[in-house]
Amino acid sequence: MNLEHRTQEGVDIVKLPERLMMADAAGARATLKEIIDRGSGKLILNLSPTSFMDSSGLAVIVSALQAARKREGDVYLCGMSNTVRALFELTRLQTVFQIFDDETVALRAFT
Amino acid sequence: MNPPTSTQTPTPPEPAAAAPQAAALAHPDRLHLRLHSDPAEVAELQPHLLDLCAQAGLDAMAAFKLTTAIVEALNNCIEHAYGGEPGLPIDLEWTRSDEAVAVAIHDEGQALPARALDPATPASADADGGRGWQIIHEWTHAVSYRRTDNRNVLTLTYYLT
Repeated sequence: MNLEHRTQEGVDIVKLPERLMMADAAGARATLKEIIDRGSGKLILNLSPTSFMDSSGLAVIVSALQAARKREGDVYLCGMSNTVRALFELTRLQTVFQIFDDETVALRAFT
Repeated sequence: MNPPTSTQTPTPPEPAAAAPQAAALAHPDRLHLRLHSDPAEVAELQPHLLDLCAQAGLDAMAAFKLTTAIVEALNNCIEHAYGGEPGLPIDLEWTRSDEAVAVAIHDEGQALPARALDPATPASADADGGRGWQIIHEWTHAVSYRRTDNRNVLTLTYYLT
């Protein structure tokens, strides 16, 4: 799956797609793992384009976190809409991830 | 991929036209969609479910919640009832009254395990999966299940008042 990706100050920054659902989950999971394995393990996922996500999408993000932590890195999230945030709160994933307003603040927290 | 099909009728519904036409129907009170056990079909249907929720009078957050619950139920049909086998039938009946939206999802797969109907044990926060049923239970007002003639029927109800 093609995801918009860049590296800044040693941190991989990835924009997630407009929707992250079961249909795309395997591809997104593989792409993120490849980025994490090739990079520093520090990853920012920008969810600002993402208007819909299901539990398969949540699982993709959790698997990215697990991969990053194996490399002693972390995954920070930013740009979350109110609706997607509600999904994270329902599933208590806001207690697992650090969530920031935008990429700038997330990057500052990493560096 | 076989696209989902839809129709709007006042009497027992039959699937007919393409799913995108569902969104063009004005305030459908009763709708029957036929899709297949393919995640791409669920993805294709998702924006139309949001439209249906909005047409039923739900605000953006409520529409997101009900749509997500329906998507999770469809995902469960694909992943668990049919074990990932593609191309098998799933029927979705949408019924809107003054009081509620009821969404009945029919499949011909394996019966639902009893634990699925127990909302008391959500997945741990950092688990890799297992959140679908939590979403279904928490983001609808009632969930009922019956198995008749080797068919599963899961009905999600969202009250409008």
